[in-house]
Amino acid sequence: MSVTQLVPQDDTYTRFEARLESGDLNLPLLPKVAAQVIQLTSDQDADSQQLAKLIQGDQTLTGHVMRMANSAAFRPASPFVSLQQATARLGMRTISEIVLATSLNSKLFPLPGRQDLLQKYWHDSLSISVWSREIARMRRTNVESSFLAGLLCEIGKPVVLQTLLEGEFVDPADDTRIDNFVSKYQKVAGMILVTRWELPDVVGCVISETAAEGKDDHLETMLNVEGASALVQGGSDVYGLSESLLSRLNFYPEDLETLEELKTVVNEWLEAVAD
Amino acid sequence: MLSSCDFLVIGSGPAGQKAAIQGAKSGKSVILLECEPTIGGMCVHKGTIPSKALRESALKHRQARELLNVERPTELKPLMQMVDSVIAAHDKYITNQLDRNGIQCIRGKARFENEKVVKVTEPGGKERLIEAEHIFIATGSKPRKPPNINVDHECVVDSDSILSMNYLPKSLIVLGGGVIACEYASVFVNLGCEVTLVDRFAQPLGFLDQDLPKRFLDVFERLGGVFVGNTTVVSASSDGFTGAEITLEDGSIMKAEKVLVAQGRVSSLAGLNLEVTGVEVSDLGLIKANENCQTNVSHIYAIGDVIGPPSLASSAMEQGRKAACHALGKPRDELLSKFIPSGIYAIPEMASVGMTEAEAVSRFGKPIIGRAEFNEVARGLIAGSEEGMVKMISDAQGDKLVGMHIVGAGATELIHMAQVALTNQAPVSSFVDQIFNFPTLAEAYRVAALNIQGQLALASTVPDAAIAATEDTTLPLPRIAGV
Repeated sequence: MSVTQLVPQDDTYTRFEARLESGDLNLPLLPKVAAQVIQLTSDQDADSQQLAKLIQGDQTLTGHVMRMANSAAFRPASPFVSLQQATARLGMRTISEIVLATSLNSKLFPLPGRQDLLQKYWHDSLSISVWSREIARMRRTNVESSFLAGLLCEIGKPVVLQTLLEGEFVDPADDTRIDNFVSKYQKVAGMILVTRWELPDVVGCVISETAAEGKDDHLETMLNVEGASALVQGGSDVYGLSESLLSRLNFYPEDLETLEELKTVVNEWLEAVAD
Repeated sequence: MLSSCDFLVIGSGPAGQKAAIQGAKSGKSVILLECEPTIGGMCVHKGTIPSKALRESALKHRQARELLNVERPTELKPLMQMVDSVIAAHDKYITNQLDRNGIQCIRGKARFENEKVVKVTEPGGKERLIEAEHIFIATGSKPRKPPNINVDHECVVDSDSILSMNYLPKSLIVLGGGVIACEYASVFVNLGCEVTLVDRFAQPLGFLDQDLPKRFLDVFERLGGVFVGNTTVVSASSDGFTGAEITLEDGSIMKAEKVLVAQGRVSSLAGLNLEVTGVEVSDLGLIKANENCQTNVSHIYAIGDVIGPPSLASSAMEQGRKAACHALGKPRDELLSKFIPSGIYAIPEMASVGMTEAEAVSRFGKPIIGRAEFNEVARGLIAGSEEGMVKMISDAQGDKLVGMHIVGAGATELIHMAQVALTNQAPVSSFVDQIFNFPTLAEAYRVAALNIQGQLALASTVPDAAIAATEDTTLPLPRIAGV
């Protein structure tokens, strides 16, 4: 996607686009543990035992896992006292999700002043990922891809925000202008990150809203994430989803009831993993 | 808004399509309801076509591994590349056919308001009412969810979600011994996965002539598959770490990367609100229907999986036509629909029509069984289909063909010759009298028929005991069932 296709109308936009196109961006490194998790979920030969060891070596992550295992989302019969017990209870996939959710968080972007916005972006991404997972389950489509793609579908937002503020393109307090830039350039920025981090194809397809050639199977994941995004944007109002989207998701009134019931699951998950 | 039509068909799978087309061709106004975005039912989108496409890929991969030492594939999606195009083409063909016949297709879920009126709800909630003279319920079936098994569609999958996997699992446990279980078990073992098939019976595919599942298991186990029979599964779920596990009744635990639950299907009747119509449903959740697929409410018909076995797309189509003809007052020729072959698209392929050996023994006492191995005919040798076999069953006189069972490449095609012969009551000798192309697998028919004639000749000159004594030493061996 070319940046110049995106309606540049004033000088600030032009300068900002030039910055994006130059690639001169202060992008964060993909956390090692997140990279390994992505590898694990997309490479059947990845060693899950090694990843477990990696988690054990990360104090913060271990704390998250323990808190998650003992949270209402999983309702243990009695509190877990060891990481091994907790990982065995939660399962490797859940652990992977926690690792991704906690490592790809707002702290990746050390941006003083607007941590509130970064926090919101991260919370929205997390919500989209969990809803994507549940929608995928309902639609009998791939659960793992949908979670990952949902988590990263708005990764361009913090990149745009960071670039805006570091380059002093906008007044840090001007929320409206920031929103305009973020909504206009987040896809481009997200795609830059997809390339830099060598993320799986499906993430790029979801961000760009374009299925890569020969990757028609990503269409289902894209639709799951679209549904999840609409839910999150609408404040989880399942009855507020558009008719057109419901038609494409093939969701009937009883499916909306199921979604409504899933709110508890989603909220518990979000509370458990939240900072 | 209330609209009306002569025929309202609920479900656009094989049964619904044929009922709708039959009605339209007779000048009736027809509305076809489908709750999925595209026409065709589970057969096209989740079952028959996708799984057969994967089967073709599995066969090619096995051959490539054996001939070219190619490594086992790791991704699932590339193996199914042709599926989307096949489905799209099929969808286009069916849609055109429905259009040509003036059938109005409406997307939505049906709910009976009373025995004549159905409320249709679209995705998103819009509703409309349709009144019809005749209503055909063809809503199909869905995978059964055993209460002791947690199908999360991630680690523990069913036949609707198994093909959503991105990567081929290294190991797979398949629960069940029916057609779907055996088809997927054999496909994944051919793709190089470690597959364990677990069933409560001693042998899978119990409805078939017993020689077929035996041959199937021989091939499955030769490729590394494991069959665990006579075993009840107590539970199955994510193992809480890297995959899934099942617990057997003896307390032992088996683990695999994925578990496929294929323990039958149940009819999809939820939401139809059949109670208001008075249509009777059996304890098994199947709609009760007579030989014309007519329910106890005379203008409501039930076709396809909603009335239970044989649950084949082919028989569903026939039921659709038959029900529509009955509603139109045009009864079909009974003989036409008497012999419906079964096809199992496992590796090796299996097909069956008419009586099994056990049924023939029960009926005739000593039916005569003619066999031909594919390695006895040139085409079988050329194609490397050594596991193939034809089993021809005749009455005790060796004259009347009563059943045919085939395992091996092309079985589901070959079986139709027997179907036509059965329908036309062709004698066993007709297979000897015919000239078949050479080399073809059809020659196996002649070998099997000659085998029957050979036994008759032997039986006329040698006492039974002598036949029994020579049974294991001569090939192809004349053999009389029950001797």
